[in-house]
Amino acid sequence: MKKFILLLVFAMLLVMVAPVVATPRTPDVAVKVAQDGHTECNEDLTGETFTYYLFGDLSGPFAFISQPLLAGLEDATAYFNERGGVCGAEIEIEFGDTGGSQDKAQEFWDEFTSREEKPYMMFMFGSADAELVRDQAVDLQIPILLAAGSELALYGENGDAPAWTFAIIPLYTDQLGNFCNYVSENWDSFGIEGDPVIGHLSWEGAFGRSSDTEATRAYCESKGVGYAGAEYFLPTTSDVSTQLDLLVGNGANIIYTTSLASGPANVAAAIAGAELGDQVVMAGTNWALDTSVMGLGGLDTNGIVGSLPYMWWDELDNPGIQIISNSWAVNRYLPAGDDATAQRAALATRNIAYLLSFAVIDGYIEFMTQAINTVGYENLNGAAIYDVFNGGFDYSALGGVLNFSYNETNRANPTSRIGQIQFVEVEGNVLPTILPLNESAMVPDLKVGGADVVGE
Amino acid sequence: MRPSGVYDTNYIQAQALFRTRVDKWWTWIIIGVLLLVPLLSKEGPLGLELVSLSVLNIMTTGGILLISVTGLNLLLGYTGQISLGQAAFMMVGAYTGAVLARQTSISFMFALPVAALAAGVVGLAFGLASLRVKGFYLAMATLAAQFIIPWAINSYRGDWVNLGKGNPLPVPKASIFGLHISSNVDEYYLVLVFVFLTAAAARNLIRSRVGRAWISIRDNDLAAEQLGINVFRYKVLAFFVSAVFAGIAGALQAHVTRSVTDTSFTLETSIELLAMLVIGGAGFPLGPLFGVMFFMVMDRYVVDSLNEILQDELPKLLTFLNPEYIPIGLPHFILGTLLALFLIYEPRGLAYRWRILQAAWRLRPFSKA
Amino acid sequence: MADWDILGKSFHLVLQATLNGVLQGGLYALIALGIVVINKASGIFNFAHGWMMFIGALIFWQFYDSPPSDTLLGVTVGLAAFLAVTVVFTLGITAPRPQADPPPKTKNRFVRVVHYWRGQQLVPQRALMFGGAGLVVWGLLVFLLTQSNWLVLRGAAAALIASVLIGLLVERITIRPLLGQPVLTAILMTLAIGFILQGVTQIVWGPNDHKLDVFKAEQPKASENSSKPPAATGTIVVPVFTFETGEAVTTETKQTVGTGSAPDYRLKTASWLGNDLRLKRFLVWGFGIAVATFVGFSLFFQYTSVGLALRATAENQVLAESVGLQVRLMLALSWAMVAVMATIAGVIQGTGGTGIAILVIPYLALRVFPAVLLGGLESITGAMVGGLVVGVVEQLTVVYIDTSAAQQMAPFVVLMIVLIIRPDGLFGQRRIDRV
Repeated sequence: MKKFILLLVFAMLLVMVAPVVATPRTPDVAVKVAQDGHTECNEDLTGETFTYYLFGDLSGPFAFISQPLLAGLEDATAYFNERGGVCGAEIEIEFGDTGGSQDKAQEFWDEFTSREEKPYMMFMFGSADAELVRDQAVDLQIPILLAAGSELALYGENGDAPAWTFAIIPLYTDQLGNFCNYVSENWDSFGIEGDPVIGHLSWEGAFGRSSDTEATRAYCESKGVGYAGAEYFLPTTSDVSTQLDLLVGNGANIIYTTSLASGPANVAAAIAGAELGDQVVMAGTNWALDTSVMGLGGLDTNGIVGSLPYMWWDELDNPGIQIISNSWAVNRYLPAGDDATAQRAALATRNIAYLLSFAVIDGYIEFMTQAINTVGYENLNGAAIYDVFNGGFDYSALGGVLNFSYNETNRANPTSRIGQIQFVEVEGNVLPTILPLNESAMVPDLKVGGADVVGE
Repeated sequence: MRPSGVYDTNYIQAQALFRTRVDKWWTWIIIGVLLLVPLLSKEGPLGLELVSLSVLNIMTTGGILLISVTGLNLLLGYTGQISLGQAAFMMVGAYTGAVLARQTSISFMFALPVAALAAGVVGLAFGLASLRVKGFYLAMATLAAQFIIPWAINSYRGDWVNLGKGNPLPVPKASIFGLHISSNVDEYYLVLVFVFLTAAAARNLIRSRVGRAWISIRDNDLAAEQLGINVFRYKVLAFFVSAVFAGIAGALQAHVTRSVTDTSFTLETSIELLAMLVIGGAGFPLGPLFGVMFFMVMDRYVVDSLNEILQDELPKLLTFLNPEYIPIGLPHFILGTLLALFLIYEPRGLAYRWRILQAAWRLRPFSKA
Repeated sequence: MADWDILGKSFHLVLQATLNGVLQGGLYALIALGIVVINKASGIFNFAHGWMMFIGALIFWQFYDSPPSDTLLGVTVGLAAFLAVTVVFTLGITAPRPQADPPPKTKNRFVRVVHYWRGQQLVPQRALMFGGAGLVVWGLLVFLLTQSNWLVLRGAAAALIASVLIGLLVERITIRPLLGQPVLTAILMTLAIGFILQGVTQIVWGPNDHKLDVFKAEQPKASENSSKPPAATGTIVVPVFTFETGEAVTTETKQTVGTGSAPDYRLKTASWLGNDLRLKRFLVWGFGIAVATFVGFSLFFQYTSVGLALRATAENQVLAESVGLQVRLMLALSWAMVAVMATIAGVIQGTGGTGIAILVIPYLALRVFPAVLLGGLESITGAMVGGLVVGVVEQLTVVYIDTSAAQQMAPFVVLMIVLIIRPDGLFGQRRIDRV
């Protein structure tokens, strides 16, 4: 009897296991081709997940950037996962909120990197966070993708120690060099008398002080753009009129600001209040050209010139921008008739961070695919991704929304256009937008010891 | 508050390091546990994962804060002088340590005392104001340190070191007697050693002549003067010692995070240090430990876990709010609420409550607490 | 005079900077006043002042900027205010009956309250007067909150009600339980309040900065020499693109684009100074309000019985209570007043170039600390003078050294010098210590 039962159980087990054992795995002949010009995958990783780690300030004062960024990443991963993710593997987002504290940034870095599965790479958007973990990233062999043009994080203090950090926008020094190129060629178009002279009116701190270096001064001088000094105000400054008077008194007719959100708005308001709008051009880094600035400054910000190293929302003939716009319209936009406050919140996500998050995820899929193709999924690690970057990674994300171009010596997106904030009339209403003023061009290399540094 | 029957019958007893055997046992037990903690982590010899690395890192951060808060306790808890510049003095220590490690070949063992001394001298300079100024005015004089020191560091325009411009300074790895401090466990032990040293130093200062002078100044500075205590000298000394502690903490932080920025030593940091001390109980030997532990646990664990629960629940309850905004404000809201509740129910600090509990334990079953 | 130089800087620049400094100093003084009044009343240094400014400014913005259809919230707040007003005034319309029962010997609060009200009788004249006044106030507030023409008044009414409520709430929930506890605990409590307010503002209003378009240009200025692109104003449209429609549909939103800042007020001094002197609009208003508040408070503290009671409370809470002053009421009153002052300061900064920015308004209060100390922690005159001195010193340092030095060093150096000469600030109370 016992034997019978045993046999029965055995037979049942066999039956249960049978189909699994019986059907051999049919190899996927047609490996899913990720859409839109991604490299084809050699492997099918359906069922796997890739975690996209990032940490930054969400609950602190810089939430106005991180909140749309998170919204964008959420929508972007949903969009791309639907279309096959990375070789069929899903992308997940894991976010650590530092609240702006460096201690917590360090703790998140330690926590993420000591996970069972070491992260392949990390994404950050704070210069200070990236500078903090720069050397540790090299030690642990984890590449960092950074949404800030920090020279120190990318190349080290002397510009000669490229680390494992890669920026999706040009260095702030290079942005200023590119701006000077534009000014020297198109000064007449601004319709301002006299030769161009730059005065810096920026935030106090590492970010604000990053544009004005000896290299940029000399470079702009060589392009015929003079220098009238620099004033660094705390973000808590209620008004910058005196600083403006001082710079204009020194001959500045270009006010260049390295600040964001309330910073450029404050400078623009001071210029408007002093009725100097026709005598000075206001300019800034890429962060000055954003909806947060336009929303705060209104028409004061009309005509602000700056770097535009990516496409803007209204270049809708681009298929990538169409994808992003569609996703925003479907997931975030609230049609008129709804609550005005909620609609305002929705409009606030239509900004630079939401846009970039799609481009960054698209780029992520590409370099992950390339790394997987090179070393295989089994051997995938941070070093493999680093090798992809280092071996020359040129990719135009979403059909040109953002260009990645890294190699052994270059760690930042080296191309940019010059853009301008404009308030365009559309059928009696107004469309605040950022219009490109020129074609995309290589930015000069003005890091310490860079190729385009003038003198010495 | 000692158990009944423990009396000091001579000065030696009154100044003893450990007054009762229980004190002594507790101290050694705590030291032992703290020494053993890393052995249970992934990087320990046994490869156990009982203690995650993130816990270890939080303990390292907490240790650094503890050193600084201990310094503040000497100043505020024992001498009665409020300082809002503790983070600035940490900054001096951090930058001195960083610059010495980068520009010179001085080993860490010598760079750290120099950094501590530098911080001490700066602290002393700002403490000179205590000659004339008292109370909250003095706090504001130290507040000046919080603005002037970062300004001075950022205004440096020399060639010797790439300081100015608000740039963060990368700091090389520290090495002690040829041992490189690189792993999280190394950093933990490094900080732990200094936590022990500073705690012992603080304890010894308090039970010495200096400590008694400080306490008399805290209780009534005019009376202290009448007793022949050089009030000004001891006040300035308190500032000096407190800043030295801050300098040690700063230099350690520079080496642990391997990068120094002025943004890690802001006025908010100073205020938070003060908050930790008051939460723990100013003027109690265990106050800093309780305060730092409470703050770290609350900030790193309680807020996070409450945050996770409320992030899911709040949007359902408060439908008129934008659900995307809730995670942004929630951490601060929770931290503030917890802090407020704590202050209402425990206004004299945890160390005070600890004493009450100790007394209650001895009096059981007759105690009410 | 156009070519005069003062230490190498043109006379006009120095004069302009001084003027800017005085105006900025007015704003500093207004913030400092709030901190001083709290300190006078309860001996607490208020670290939450900046966050009170921030939340007040946001409430003002909500009612100033939202379209008139969003008035539901307004009516709700109006009703709440009605309730508050009614409660306050009904307390004043009764008087004790001549023959009251002896108080019950119980600790039950409910029984005691019932007994209290049974011992009261209505005073018809007062009921008429106060009830009428309450109705008028309530009617006015509801009218202001629901109308859509005078937006500044609407915002002000809402901000006034809300900030009074916030002040009372803060005092009742957090400060009152700490009466008699160490001062440092109470000071830390203000820190906790700051955290809570920060959380609340971000949960309700989100992370984005808000424009407070009060001093806006009449119309967009046409550029004279085409140095700027032409600009349109009006309703903002957004191109909404979906793959479903396959094209961008230009959709109107409920937002309008701001016309930009109005030009500064100008003093026509070009003929003798070489250039006009300019006055920032929002700072001029801030200065005016600061002066008015200063005068108002000085008179209030000096000549009214409530002011006298407040001063007595500040001097010694126990003594004040023993002579029959309602200390807790006085404290509640001072927190309500300070919340209103904080809101005013926040709104004024919000109308400036930075808008209502989280990086600006809450932290502005921290920068005002030297002004508070310079004048003296207990002195209202001191707050005013301290604010002005710090403002002028800052701006002149901008001219002669640079902005970094002006904002991070100069005020503190001045503060240190003053404190060494006068340890209690310029107008602070000289304390006489007794052993």
